[in-house]
Amino acid sequence: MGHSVISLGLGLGGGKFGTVSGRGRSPATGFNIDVRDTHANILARTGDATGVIAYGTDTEDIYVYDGTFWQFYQNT
Amino acid sequence: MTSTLLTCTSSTRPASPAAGDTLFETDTNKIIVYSGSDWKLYDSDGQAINDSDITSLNPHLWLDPSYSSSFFTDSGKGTAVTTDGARVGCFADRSGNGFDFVQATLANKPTLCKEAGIGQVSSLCYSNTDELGFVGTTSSEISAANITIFWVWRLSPEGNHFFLQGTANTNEPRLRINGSAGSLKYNWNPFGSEETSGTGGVAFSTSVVSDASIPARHIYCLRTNSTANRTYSYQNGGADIAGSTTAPTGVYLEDTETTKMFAGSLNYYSPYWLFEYIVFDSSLSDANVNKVNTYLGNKHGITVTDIS
Repeated sequence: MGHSVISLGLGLGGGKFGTVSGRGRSPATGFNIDVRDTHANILARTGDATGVIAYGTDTEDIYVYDGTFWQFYQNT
Repeated sequence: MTSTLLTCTSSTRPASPAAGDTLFETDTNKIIVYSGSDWKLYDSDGQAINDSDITSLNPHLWLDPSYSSSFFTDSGKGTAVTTDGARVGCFADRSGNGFDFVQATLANKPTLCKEAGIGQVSSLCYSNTDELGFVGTTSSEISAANITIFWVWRLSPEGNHFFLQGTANTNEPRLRINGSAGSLKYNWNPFGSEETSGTGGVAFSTSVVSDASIPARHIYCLRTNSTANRTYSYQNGGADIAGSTTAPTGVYLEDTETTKMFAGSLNYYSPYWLFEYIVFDSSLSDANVNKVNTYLGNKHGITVTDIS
């Protein structure tokens, strides 16, 4: 498992695909993740759809819900 | 509504994407971003696993260095140890069962090390005279035939290191890390035997780590399964390294017997570090072994792979 290299606000959003909701289309600020919470609180969330993306305020990792688990992408 | 990536699979990616389009690929768990000429792929670092996921597996014994109430000066657990380099006389069991590992003699207490791990995860550092022990009870004793244990450990130099052993002699259950042949071997001599008789255990030895990597951190998992009549053993996940060893028929954490953590009296090389130790009173499924390995790997900065 390699480390991911995504940085917030870098290259995400825009185009025909991307987020289906949230404040993700502003060209001035770039892609915006509105779920910003601690690792524990993100994992405790319920009812999210596949593809929901979150930012860990304590880990600085990105999380995406795969329908069963939260996949995480480490800040490097 | 929360920010949500559109999804696709690796065979259903959009045919005409625009630069910057970003999706979550459900069959690979990758985030994919279109650069304008091709898709850039970002691998998941794994499933995010919380402490509660481990708790839900009902560990029989859990020595967790990141738990808020793990280290104390003595078995009374009245004074917490939080200072780097301070002596620890009790590594408290987080499982709720009270199977604490203790040491009453000050000179033989390991020291708290807050710098050997990553992510501010502490460990206990043992000199060659340090040792913690647990005297088994009727409630701690479990069948060794269906059990799963995890160790997160690190050694300093190459040499012979006894991680875990029974009260006295070689007929009792021991886990030895043997590096004298230029590679690291896990030796059970044997595992799952009864101390009083020395019977019922399985003995095996397997080389898994080159001496150059011995100072790194490692996750060792041992799992037994009576139905399959097998003992499985894994180093940072991956392939089973126990071969066709049968399942033991004895017990573990035996009543009235002492389980020693690092037998310092043997006077071999030191220091050693114990980061974490978890015992499950069951043969965990492959998925749950992977879950615990992933949890420990993320926590201690160890790369793991799914078991096979």
